[in-house]
Amino acid sequence: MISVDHLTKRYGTVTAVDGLSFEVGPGRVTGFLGPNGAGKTTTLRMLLGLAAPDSGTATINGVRYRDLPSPARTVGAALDNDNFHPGRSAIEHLRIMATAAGISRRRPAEVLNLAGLTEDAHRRVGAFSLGMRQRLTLATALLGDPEVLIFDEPLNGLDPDGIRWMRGLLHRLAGEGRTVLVSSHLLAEAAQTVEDVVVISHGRLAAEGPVAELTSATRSENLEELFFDLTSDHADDRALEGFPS
Amino acid sequence: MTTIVSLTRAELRKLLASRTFLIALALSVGLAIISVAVDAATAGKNGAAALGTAASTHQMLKLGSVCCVAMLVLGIIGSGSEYRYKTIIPAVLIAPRRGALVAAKVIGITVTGIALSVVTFGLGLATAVAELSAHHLHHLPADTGTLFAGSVIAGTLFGVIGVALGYITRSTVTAVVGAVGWVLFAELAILHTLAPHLAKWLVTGAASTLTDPGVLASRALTPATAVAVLGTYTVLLLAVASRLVLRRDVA
Repeated sequence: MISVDHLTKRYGTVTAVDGLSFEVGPGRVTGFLGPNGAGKTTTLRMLLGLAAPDSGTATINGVRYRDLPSPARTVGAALDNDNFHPGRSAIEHLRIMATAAGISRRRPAEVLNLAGLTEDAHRRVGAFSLGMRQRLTLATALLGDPEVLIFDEPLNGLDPDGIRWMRGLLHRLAGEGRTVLVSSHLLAEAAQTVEDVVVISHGRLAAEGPVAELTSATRSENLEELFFDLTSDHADDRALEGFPS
Repeated sequence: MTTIVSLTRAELRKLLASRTFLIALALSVGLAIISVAVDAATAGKNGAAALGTAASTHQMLKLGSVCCVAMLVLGIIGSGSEYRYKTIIPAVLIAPRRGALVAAKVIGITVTGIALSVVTFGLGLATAVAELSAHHLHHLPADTGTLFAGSVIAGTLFGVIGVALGYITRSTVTAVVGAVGWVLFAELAILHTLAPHLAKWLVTGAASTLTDPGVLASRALTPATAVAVLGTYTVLLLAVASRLVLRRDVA
């Protein structure tokens, strides 16, 4: 379970995240949606202890990320797809991460296989395509076999086969009872992937809940229309007045 | 404690997996051996001390500066490249209490510094002994052991200083330029000129006491004091670096 409670982050005079609160439960794929600059990545970074909030809390299973006894075994996070030393091979990158986290020596090969990169295990990451780096980011997140998964724009750089593969993987992971939070701005893809959504705009919550319930309540035809209803410049007041949250 | 052990293992694995370490080791050892061989070949010529004299052997054993430069660069690359390649992000995700990350990095570079400095000075010394033996000379200066230990300590502390600089600047280029600029301009050009009596208390002054037989013999500082001075600079820089690593947002 992911809980965000009145989370706020300011950079100088800019408020990137403004009193944001939401919860994400296990067993479903939850989309974290919002326009560029809405505060999605900043929120995820605060949730993962990479950035300090000015106020509010973000917890995983009731505990701040930094206080988790074994973070890599509890949460798998895939943020950027360029967090690799280009001179290391994929398997060496995963072995270093597994060693640091105290994870079994067998696991790097297993997650490489899961990510479809077994044949490229010994290639330097610097020679990887964007899609391959995305898969390696995912493999890194899965190293600790975590119960909570947080992905920031996981579909970026994937080809159609990769997108289909990712979609299947996300559903499988949620089906195993894991908590899966996926940020995205690709609405058409998100519509086919997520079951619940948390929509934010200008750092504030616009709506949260099952996609079907939200579209029905707002008489939107689909997720894309719902998104634009919620995140257009005139939507903030409407969100506060009556959308489910 | 388990976390630090795991993180330290990962740090050593990173070093051994990188070409940078092997290149630094090869350059350090190569320079040491060539330097000793050149000093032996030029001994007794153009006013240089004759081979077998204490002055000549001391000249051959000025190997600590090679260890210091190699470890400074390795330390800077070790921490600065975490930001350059953004590997600091997965590292912080594994160890969100970032003090453990810094501790593991320092332990890793300390182990590396000891190994590189021992190998560099050891092979340089072996070359010197071979050169002397070839001329039927079998005597080393009494302070050879002190120089060996001083070079290993100075090289190791420079590695930790490099780690601190890399963390502070978050840039390998800025850290290298800053370190070279400090040594060449602040210490050698300005402070040595304006206040030469302070030179022995500076980073390079203390390191010279440990690695340069001429400075060591002048008793400007005792070796123990030089270690304390260099250690103090190292701890201060590391304290600044740790504070920044713990407080900064990771982007």
